[in-house]
Amino acid sequence: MAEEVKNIAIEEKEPAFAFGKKEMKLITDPLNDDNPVTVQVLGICSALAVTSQVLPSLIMGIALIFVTAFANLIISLLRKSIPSSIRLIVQLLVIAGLVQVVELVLGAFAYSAYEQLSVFIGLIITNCIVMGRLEAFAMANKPWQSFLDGIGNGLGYAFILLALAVVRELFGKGAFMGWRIMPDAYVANNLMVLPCASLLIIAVFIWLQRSWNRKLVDIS
Amino acid sequence: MQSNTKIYLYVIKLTVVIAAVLSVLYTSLNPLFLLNKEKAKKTQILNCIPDQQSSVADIASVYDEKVLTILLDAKGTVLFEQKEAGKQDDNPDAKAVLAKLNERGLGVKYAKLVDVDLSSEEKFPLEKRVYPIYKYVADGGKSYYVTSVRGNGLWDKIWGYIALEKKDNNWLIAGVNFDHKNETPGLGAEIKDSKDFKDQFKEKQIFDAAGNYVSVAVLKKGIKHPEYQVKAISGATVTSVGVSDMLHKGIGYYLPYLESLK
Repeated sequence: MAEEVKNIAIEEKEPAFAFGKKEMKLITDPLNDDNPVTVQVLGICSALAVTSQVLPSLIMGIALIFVTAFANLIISLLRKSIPSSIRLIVQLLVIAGLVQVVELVLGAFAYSAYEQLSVFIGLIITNCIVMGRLEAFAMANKPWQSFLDGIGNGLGYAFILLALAVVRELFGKGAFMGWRIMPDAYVANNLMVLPCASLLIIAVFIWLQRSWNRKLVDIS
Repeated sequence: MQSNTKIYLYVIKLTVVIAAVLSVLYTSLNPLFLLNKEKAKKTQILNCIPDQQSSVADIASVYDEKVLTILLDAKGTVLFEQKEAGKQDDNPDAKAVLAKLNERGLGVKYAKLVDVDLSSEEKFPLEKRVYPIYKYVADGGKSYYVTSVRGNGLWDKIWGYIALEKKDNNWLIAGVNFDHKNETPGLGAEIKDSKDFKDQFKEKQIFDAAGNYVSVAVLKKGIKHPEYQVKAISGATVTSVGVSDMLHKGIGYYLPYLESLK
């Protein structure tokens, strides 16, 4: 009992919106050492589906950053009141609500992106990254840290998505953001626009990352 | 361990809060969404008219100025014909026709003429359906008739607008515009993305030399009649066949009307 009181006292001493080394790590870790796609291998489904072009991938990345960050924040705020027997349902409810917000905003302000992505925006609900972070982080941490963790993981996902899309659009269409940049002699490789190409490219990314970051090799 | 009542209350409270937030957002953003949707449709119709250059900003005004809407039933009888260009929101005839169409039920509610769309119409049996045709009057007095077609691709629906132009007792395709719900990017989706594919349709006839209706066929190989056959997208056979069928059936519904214009 005494120890619990002490812990709370320590927590209260820290400012609510501190941004120190620990917080920085929450953002930078998911970009490399703890990347949701290449290290945790989550969110592969949408990484296969939307990455044939750069622009929709960018919007998907932004949408996911928004959803993970705010779902983390809301769940962290509610974490002490959520009855543990229904916590997954509550998490799902919050995620579904946020995804609906994204869909409404895109439909009103970015219609062409909405048309291209509509199905996949809805599928953010089932994106394992969001729920994974809620269970693993937001349920046990304070709102501000959870929010940063959400942004970090969203960024890590968006970063891989963009890298994937750049490779696929470049070789599959000879273009970047719709502008043709490859010489006319280049014949577009149709394999690159098929979903299976993303698996191959993600595998190459994982290989490159591990040969460069030896720390990760021991984990697996 | 919390009591069940508490848990139920918790879920109900949370649901009510989320539902309230979403409904406020929906009521404030949905008008914008509908406007976007309408603009996208007008753009698709105008884009199949050749030499039609209007910037995104004035799509709505160009559409209002130049496009006349005509509604046909499946037999080609004219249900409504817009006589003069301009906004039709207050036209009593248009209102009466739309009110009649709304009586068919199935959740189809049209507020404006431009709302009439095959995606809603295909819910009804053929004899109840309405087919919109859009007449575009160009500056030189030339007129194009834009038909609306809808069919099946590989994964889901595909649809398009086909601009037709009358020339010596035959109808030529002036331009086409296709769209799809869920075709494979780089393969089936090329019906929308590839300019080369769409450009092939220009100047094709829909009647052969003997005057029989042939529509425009999309073929993988063995093109013997380049005047009404075009090349399919390699690797997207099902979508290409889908486009072919969609054109044959879709333009077919407009034939009685087109022939009455002779």
